[in-house]
Amino acid sequence: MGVDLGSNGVIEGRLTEAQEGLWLARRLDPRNPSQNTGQILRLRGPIDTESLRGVVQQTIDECDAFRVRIAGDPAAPTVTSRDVPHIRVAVDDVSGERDPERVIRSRVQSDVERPRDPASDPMASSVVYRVADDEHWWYFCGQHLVIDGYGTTLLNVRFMDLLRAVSTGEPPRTPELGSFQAVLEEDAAYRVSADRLADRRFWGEELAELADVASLSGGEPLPSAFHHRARRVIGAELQGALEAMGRDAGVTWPDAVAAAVAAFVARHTGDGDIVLGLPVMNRLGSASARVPCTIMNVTPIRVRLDEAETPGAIVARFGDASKRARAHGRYRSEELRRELGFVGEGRRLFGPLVNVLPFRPLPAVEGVAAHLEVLGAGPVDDVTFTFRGGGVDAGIALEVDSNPALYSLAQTETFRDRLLAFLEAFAAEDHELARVPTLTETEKERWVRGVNDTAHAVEETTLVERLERTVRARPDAVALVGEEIELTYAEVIERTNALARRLRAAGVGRGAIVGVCYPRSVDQVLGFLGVMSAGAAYLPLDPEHPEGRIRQLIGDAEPRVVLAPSSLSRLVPADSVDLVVWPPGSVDESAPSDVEPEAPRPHDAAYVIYTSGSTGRPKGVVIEHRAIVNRLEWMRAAFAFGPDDRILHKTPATFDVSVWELFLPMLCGATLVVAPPTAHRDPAWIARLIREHGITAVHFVPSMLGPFLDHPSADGLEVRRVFCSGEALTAPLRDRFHRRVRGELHNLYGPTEAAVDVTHWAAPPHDTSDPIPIGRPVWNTRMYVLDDHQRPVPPGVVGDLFIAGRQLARGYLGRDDLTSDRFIPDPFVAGERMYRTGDLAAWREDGALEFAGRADHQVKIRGQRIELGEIETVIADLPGVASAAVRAWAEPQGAALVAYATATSGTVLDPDGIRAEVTARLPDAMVPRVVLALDDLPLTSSGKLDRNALPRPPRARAEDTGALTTPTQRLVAEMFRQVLDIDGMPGPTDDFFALGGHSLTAVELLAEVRSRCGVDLGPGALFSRPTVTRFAEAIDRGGPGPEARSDPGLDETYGLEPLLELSSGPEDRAPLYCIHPAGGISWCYGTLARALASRRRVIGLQATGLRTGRPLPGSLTEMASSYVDAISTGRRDRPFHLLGWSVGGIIAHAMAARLLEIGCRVGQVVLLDAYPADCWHDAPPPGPDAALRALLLIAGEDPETIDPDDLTRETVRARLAERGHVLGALSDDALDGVVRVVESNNRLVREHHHEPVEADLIHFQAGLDHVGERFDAGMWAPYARRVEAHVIPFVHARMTGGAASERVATVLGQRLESGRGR
Amino acid sequence: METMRADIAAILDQPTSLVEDGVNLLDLGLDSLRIMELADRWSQASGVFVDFAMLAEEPEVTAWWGLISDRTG
Repeated sequence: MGVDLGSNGVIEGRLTEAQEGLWLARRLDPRNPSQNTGQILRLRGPIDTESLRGVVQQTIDECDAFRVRIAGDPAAPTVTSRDVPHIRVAVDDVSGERDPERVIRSRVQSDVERPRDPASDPMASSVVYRVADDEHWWYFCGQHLVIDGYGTTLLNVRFMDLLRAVSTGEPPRTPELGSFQAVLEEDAAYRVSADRLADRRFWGEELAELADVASLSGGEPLPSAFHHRARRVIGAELQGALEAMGRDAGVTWPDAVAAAVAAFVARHTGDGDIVLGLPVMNRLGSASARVPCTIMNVTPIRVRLDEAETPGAIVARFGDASKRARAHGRYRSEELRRELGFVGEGRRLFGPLVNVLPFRPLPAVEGVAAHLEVLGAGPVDDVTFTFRGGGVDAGIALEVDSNPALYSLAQTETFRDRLLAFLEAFAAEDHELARVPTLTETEKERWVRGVNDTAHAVEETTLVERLERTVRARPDAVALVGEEIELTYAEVIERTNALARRLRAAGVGRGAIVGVCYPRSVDQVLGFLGVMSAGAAYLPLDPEHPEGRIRQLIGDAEPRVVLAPSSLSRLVPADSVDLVVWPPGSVDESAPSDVEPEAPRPHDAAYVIYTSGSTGRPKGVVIEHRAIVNRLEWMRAAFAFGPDDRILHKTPATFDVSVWELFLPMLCGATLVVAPPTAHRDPAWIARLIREHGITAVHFVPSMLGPFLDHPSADGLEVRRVFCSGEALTAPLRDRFHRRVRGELHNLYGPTEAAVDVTHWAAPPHDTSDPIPIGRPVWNTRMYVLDDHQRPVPPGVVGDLFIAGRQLARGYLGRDDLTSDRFIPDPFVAGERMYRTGDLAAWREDGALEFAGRADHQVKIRGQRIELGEIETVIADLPGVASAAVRAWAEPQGAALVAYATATSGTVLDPDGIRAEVTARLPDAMVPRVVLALDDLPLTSSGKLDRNALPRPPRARAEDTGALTTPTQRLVAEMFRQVLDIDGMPGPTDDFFALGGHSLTAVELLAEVRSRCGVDLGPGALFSRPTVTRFAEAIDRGGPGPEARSDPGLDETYGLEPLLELSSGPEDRAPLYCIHPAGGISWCYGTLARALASRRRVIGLQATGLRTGRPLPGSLTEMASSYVDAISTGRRDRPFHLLGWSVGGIIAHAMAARLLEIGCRVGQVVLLDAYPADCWHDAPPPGPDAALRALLLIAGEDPETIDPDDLTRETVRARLAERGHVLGALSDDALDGVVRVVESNNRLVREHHHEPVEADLIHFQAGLDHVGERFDAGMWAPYARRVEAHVIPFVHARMTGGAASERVATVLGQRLESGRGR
Repeated sequence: METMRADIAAILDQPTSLVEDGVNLLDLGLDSLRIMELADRWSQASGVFVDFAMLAEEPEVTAWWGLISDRTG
């Protein structure tokens, strides 16, 4: 469609590309007032009011781009000036008001905030306010569709010129403003030009292989109605320095500044490949140069930052990139996003915007002082850095504008301050970018020293000395409680000393290591104490570990002796180390009385604990007494431990958490209760111990806390303090804890290399942190978060976590190379070391640390640190194995290890055999759950192992260990186990689908049920009752016998009832109602129901017409009304949350209308790839086989693969059954029902007309479909208050599948939790 | 007009011979900021109001000369 020059100079034609981009954005959020730009020009001087009005009117009349409406088909809108009235400039005399300025501002504010509908409202408005005889304020407001920043300048320049002309009587100096018609013509020509093709080609190359673009916030940029602003004028010195930098590099000063901003942004994203958005005017060489209109575009400028380069070189390179981009700047960024497929994937095209606005003085009018004030300047999707020239005397102002949904005002101000400091350092730096700090001096002071102000006096002493002190103070207090023994402190010290003498006699002294191999017991504790009393460090050896492992540790640590009870002496390799048997079984083994053990000193090692090593060899961490004393003293004070406390020791001694369990009591004179060896895995046993012994402090690894809380014995438990460490403690787990148990919950973090824990965070019931921070450092400890140049990073930015301070280990035993690699100099405290944890973290604004994952291939299994490399080495060493990889998969019950191996040529791998070998060599936590044989290990393009491409293994473990009470339950459990091929027998609450079942296996299961129980249950029964107990109930009710069958209530067994419960939840939360798609069945929402993390009832609405004999609704509105009746009886007090896929979305909208009509509240309304019924109004009615085609589509099958002649009910049925689809197992009656419903729904949709509804919609578009079509969320705009549009990368048919459901559930879950009234 | 040509060449740091009649000055690397500078300079020199908007539409030396000479004469 070209441009029409009508007989009256009417403008008519297709919108410009610039306008189209804005138009599409506007339709999604029509009430967003930020699409208006306003300004006030204050004029002081003698001006006649009416003349002024005339000048304004004349100026605005020259802008024919304002006098338009946008109309026509939403899919191809046009702009027209036909019948559009002139914009009248009014005069408003406020000189009589008491506070004229205030009145003006109030009126202006409400006008600027008024959204304008381009179909019906004037696109610009203007008022001349008379403040006094010699003061007028000219207010102007234009919608973005008709004016941009440059256009406003044109307007202002022309206005001032006309004003001058009127006041001097001279002719105007500026020519008349140009016509928008010329711009339309030029735009239409560009659309079909070779230039456009060249521009597209340029961008295709420029943005090739662009990874995800990051910005200063991780959130999704969406237009906001308002924005934060932080402003400051740049000093003249800095301005000069930046200008000089530009000159030296041969680039314009805007490009120099933008380059500096790019470097600044890179420091926050941790990515050297930065894409900024640069607004370009697009006026050069264009007919639009003298036409006030919108033609501005934002181009992506992509630059790779190299910290080794000089800032000058970076500026030069940026200048080149910028020049090239501007040469192709006409190509719309909205179009680019679409073509690159970013829209379908919800990806950004650029990060922050940098806007440099040089000073454009207004022409002067003698006798008139003019001052321009810009009001809103447009929506800020993310963050924009504007450098606004203010004229020779005024300098340049930096304005940081940000989207309040992504940034707070405080953050925005911080960016401003930090950027200014960065710019100074950048401009002054001659050598390399790396030397420019990211933080200001003040910030550095806060984030390096301020957050680490943890100095606290702690005695330089040893654990042994503290024990002795306690013994002197409270000799008769109970120190140790075991299964059958209780010892006072006096008794403990007596035995400890005896053991120490025995060890001394065996040659143990200061500097030695002694292996201690005991099951958890009082003797083990005494063993540790005895070793330390002899001046040595203890090395815990777990008798449950494979012998080979024990041997390996002994071989590596070379202990002076190994201490063990006689029952375990066989575990100690006599050929490599001496054994000391304790307790003594004979006189020879008893302690001599004339030997004096050496007391340890504070810098002596207290213990050596081994941790996993990435190259296959575990490493021994050596912790000195003074380090662990610091940790324990802090704990005592922080949690007010005293002699009345009773601490439970249940953590294996090879795990350093055990250290505080073991030795904290003796620091306080409290009691240590030693749990029997296997108790830590048994929730019931732990609960019993806690109750029986009145335990006041206990530790859990989070993945063990979960099952413990779930166990009935945890109900009503009271324990004063519970500590979690070893894994991330999640918010849901915290909340579950406080619902079940009375006590304090504390989160601790720390590697073995830093004396157990270095940070702490209290997690009381009212703590709403999510994620739960790892917290703040303990005494005499410093935490640093640094980037890869060891510069401290700003809060909120993820960096590498380092630990410094008194708790650092001495190093790795016998591994100086490793030690110097991980313990490096502390750059902030001369002479000290810091430890590289390999963890990623970020500071919160309040000074608490948040854990952000690992930087490498270390994982935690049940709290224990595992290097995947260690397991891989063991497997790869096995005969027949060519290469091996291990991956940790996140599962609800904790991470699971899966190993993958490839065979050497000519060999066939035996996965079970491999697993057995690993079991013999590595501790339990490191044994993969399953070993999978692969032909090849997947590699990345650079030839490295691509762990992310390792395939997901089949699920295989039953959860519930509860008892099955009826024969049917036992039978069902057995059938589940067989059909799903899982380990272990399922329990009463185990869910078929959670165990890995899906439609295929469901069909198998139903067949088993048919043959074993003689009961013909439909798949719906399984969908609505997927657990062992409930499915067993369904079988019992559908049991053999005619009486059972004739019970009408048994309709239910087919899962086709009108309200189908897809997941259960508490009564106090408003359920989510999922409305069926065309086929009338809601089983497709089962996955989404399970994906919603919050426990909430999800109910599927199904078509009443599914059962024969039931009437079909006469209209979609009638259908919606009857659904509303069904769900709203007796439940008017809560909001109704609705969700619909495809046709279900159309019905959901109609239900929302009906709900509002009857006075109910509408909550979240979610549409999955649904579009208004209008789209189908003109579609031809479907043919007779349409229902069958629809059935196939519902099942994910392609109807085109069936010969049209064969498209009968039978063939379709057979096809579905053969594919194992549950729809193929439907009875004849049920299938009839589906066909009827599909036909009816098709017709009802085509006949339906939507009304506008005062509700907000959340729309998810199937990003991989609709390419080239015009379907988008905006189509709902006329029928809703607001549409929140998301695009996710799936095809229509997969929008209710697993991956799509995860995405939808994340967004929906948040909305549901934060909504009013829930 | 020759002064104009020289001014353009100087601001582009190019030889005057490159600033030919009919050549699109954008192809020679002229950008908005530089055009603004030229506009300011010529406004002051000629006493005629010249701004970016006027020059931007057709960045070519004869066109520019036309704009300014039309109004001084």
